[in-house]
Amino acid sequence: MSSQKLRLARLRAEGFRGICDPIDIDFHEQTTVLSAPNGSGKTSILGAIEWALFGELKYQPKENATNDELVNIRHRTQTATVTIDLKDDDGIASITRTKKAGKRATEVIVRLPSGEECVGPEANSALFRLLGLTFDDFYRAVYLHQESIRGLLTDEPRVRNDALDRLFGVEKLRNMLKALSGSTKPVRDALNKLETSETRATDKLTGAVGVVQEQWQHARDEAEKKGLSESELTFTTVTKLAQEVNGNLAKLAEATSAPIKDLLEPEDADGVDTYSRRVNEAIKVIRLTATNAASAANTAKEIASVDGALTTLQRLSGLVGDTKENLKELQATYGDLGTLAEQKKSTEVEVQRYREAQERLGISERIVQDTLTYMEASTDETNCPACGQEIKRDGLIARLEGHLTGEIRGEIEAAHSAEIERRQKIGDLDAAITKRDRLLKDQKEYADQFSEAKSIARNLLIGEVSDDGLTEALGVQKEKLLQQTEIVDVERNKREEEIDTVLTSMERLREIGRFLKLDATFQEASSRLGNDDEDSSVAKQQIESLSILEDGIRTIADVVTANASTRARNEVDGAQVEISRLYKELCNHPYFDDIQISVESKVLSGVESNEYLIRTNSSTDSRHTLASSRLSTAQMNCVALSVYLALASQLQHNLGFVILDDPSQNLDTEHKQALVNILSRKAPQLQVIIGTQDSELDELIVSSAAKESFHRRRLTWSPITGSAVVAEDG
Amino acid sequence: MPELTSEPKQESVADKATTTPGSIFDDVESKLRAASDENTLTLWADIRAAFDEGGPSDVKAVIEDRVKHSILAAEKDLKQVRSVTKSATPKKKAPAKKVAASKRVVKK
Repeated sequence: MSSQKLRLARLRAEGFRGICDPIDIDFHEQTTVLSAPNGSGKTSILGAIEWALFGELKYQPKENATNDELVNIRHRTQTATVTIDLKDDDGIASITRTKKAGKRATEVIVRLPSGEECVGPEANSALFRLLGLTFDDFYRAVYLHQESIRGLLTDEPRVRNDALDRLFGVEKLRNMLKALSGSTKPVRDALNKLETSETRATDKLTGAVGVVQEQWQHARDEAEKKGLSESELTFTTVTKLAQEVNGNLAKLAEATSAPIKDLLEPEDADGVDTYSRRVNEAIKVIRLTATNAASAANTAKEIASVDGALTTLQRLSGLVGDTKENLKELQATYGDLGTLAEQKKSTEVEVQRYREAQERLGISERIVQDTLTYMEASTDETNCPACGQEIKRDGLIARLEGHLTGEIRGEIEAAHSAEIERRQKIGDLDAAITKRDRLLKDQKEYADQFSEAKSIARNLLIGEVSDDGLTEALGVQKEKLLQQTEIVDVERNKREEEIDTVLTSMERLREIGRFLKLDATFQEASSRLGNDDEDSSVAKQQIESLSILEDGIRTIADVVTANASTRARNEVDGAQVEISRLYKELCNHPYFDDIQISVESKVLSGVESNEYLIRTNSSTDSRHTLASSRLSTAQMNCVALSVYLALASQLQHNLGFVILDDPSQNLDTEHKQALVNILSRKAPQLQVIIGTQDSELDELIVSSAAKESFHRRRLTWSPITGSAVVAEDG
Repeated sequence: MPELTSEPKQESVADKATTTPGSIFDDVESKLRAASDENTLTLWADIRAAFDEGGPSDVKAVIEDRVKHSILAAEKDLKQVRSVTKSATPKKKAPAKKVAASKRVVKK
C-alpha cells in the first residue's frame, strides 16, 4: 500500500439529489472551496462523495424502501450516477456508483490503481480495504456534517450525549445497549409466566395422579369382584372376549335374520366404549327384528279386543235379560202395561165419585144434626112443624141419632177410605208408568248396544257365527291368541338367554377396558410427572433456555456497557490534548482558555449510558465551569470544531482529506480567521474540502493561501439543470 | 507520514479489514470470548448479525423470536400436561345411562 493517503482528485455526477445534468469537478490537492448561496447544491456534491464511497447518506431521511430521494426527480433516465477518483502514489482509484429510481440495489464498480476492476460484493470489500474505515468512522474522521455540529450545540443533554457518542464512535454500542435493555423485560415476563404455568400445571397433574391412582385401584378391585384375575386384565382378554361376543352376535343375527354388520374388535382400550355401544345397538336390532314388534303388538291388541268384546257381550246380555225380567214383573203387577194410563184415569174418576159421596153424606149429616138440635131444643113440640103430623119425639131422636152415628158416618168413613185407597193406587200407577218407560228405554238402548257389540265380535272372528255362539267363539279365539303369545315368549326367553351371555361378556370386557384406560392414564400421568432427579419436560427445558437467554443478555449488556464507557474515555483521553490546543486557537476565549471533556456513567430509562461533561477552565485562576452554561453559540461551535478536528487526527485510515460542510456557522471574523489558519496549516498534509455559503470565509481562505494552493468552485442551481459549476479560479 | 499518523489508542481500522469489516463490536466479542460460555457467545453472534443487518429493532426481533419459540414450545408441552391432567381428573357424574337389561318374560 502507498505511504501517501488517498486524496480526492475528481468528481463526476449526474441525477444525484440536487444535481441533474452532468457536472465534473476536479479537486485541488490542498484546498477546494465549494462556494455558493444556500440551496445551490453544496451538500449534494459533498453527499455524492459520501454516497459514492459508502452507498448511503447518514443524515438523509429515507423517502421510501427504494431510497428514491437519492435520485434527481427531473433526471432524464431517473438514474443517479456518481464517479469519484481517489489518487495516491500508486495511481488513481475510481469508484462509480449507480442507482435507478424505484430499484433497491445500487451498482458499484471499483477500479483499483492496479487496473483491477471489482463489482458487486467484491467491490464493497475492495472499497473497504481501499478506504480503511467504516461508514461511522468516516463521520468521525473525515466528514464534519452540519448535523454533527448541531448536536453539540443543543442545550438538551441527551441529544448532546448522543452526538458526542457518535463523534467518539460508541453510538452503535449505545444503540445495542438500548435494544438489549428493551428485550430484558419480555424475557423476564415470559419466564415468570411460564414458571407460573408450569408450577400450576404440575400441581394439578400431581393431584390428578393421586386421584387416578385411587380409581385404578378401585377398578382393579371391581374387576376382581367380577371374577377377573390380574393376569386377565390385559388387552388380549379384551380381544378374546370381543371375538366371543362377535361370534354370539353373528349366531343371533343369523337366527333372527337381524340386519347387523360385522363388528370390528376394539383396537385399544379407548375403543372399548365405541365397541360396547355398537354391541348394544346390535342387540337392539336383534331384539326388534326377532320380536317383530308390530306383530306382537297386534296380537296383544287382538287379545285385548277379543277380551273387550267378550266382556261387553256378557255385560249387555245380562242387562238385556234383567230389563226383560223387570218388565215381566211390572206386567204381573199391573197387567197390560199399555193400559196403565187408562187405569189411572178411571181411578181418578173413582176418587172424584167418592169425594162427591162424601159431600152428599156431609149434607145429610148436617140436616140430621140440625133436626136433632131442634128436637132437643123444642121439647114442647109434639107435631112436625112441617107437616103437622104427630111426632114421637123420643123415638125420633133415638132414631135420628142412630141414623147419624151409624149409617151416615159409616158411609162417610167408607167413602173417605175408598178415596185414600184410590189416591194411593194413582201414586202406584204413576211410579209404574215411569218405571215402564225407563225399562222400555233401557231395553231399546241395550238392544242397540248388544247388536253393535255382536257386530264387533263378528268382525273379530273368522266365519259365520250365530248370536248364541258368539261368546263361546270369542273365548276360543282368545285362548288361541294367548297360546300364540306364549310360543313367542318362549322363543324370546331363549334368545334373551343368549343375549344375556353376550351382555355378561360385555360387562367383563367393559370392566377390563375401564381398568386398562385408567392404567394407561395412570402410567401416562405418572410419566408426565417425571421424577425429581431429572428436568425432562420440554417446558422446564424452555424455562431453563429462557433463563440462559436472560443471563446471556445481561452478560452481553454488561460487556457492551463497560466497552462503551471505556471506549469513550479512551477516545476522550487520546484526543484531549489536541482538543485543548485547537480550542485555544479557535475560540481564543479571554478567560476560559482551556477545555476538558470528562465521561461519566449515567442510568437513563434503565439503560446505563455515557454522559459527557464539557467544562471550560481558566488557567489564570484555575476556575472551571460547564461550557454550555458560559460559552456563546459561536464559542460552542468552536468547541464542536475542536473536537471534530482533533478526532480527525486520532483515527488511522487511508483517506487523506477532510470534508467540512458549512463550518463557519455562527463564527465571527476572528473565529473564521482562526479556522482558516488551522486549515491552512493542515492543508499541505491534509486535503481540505469546504462547502460554504459564507463569502467572508471564502475570502479569508483566498487571502490566506497562495493562489496555487486552492481551487474555488462557485455553484449555481436551476430547476432544469440542477447544480452547475459557473466559475473557477484559484 | 503527516501528523495524522500519530499513534492511535485503538486498534487500526485498516487492520480489521483483513478479517471482517472492522466493527466496534469486535472488542465486545473478544471480551465475551474471554469470559462467557458457549450459549452467550452464540447469542452474541445472533445479536451482532441482527444488529449489522437491521439495527436495534432486529436485535429485539431476534430475542423476541427466541422468547416466542420458547413460549410456544413450553405452552405446547404444558397443553399436553393439561390434557393428561384433564383425562386423569374424574369427570362430573353424568346421569346414569339406561343399561340394556334382559327382557325375558316370567310367567306369573
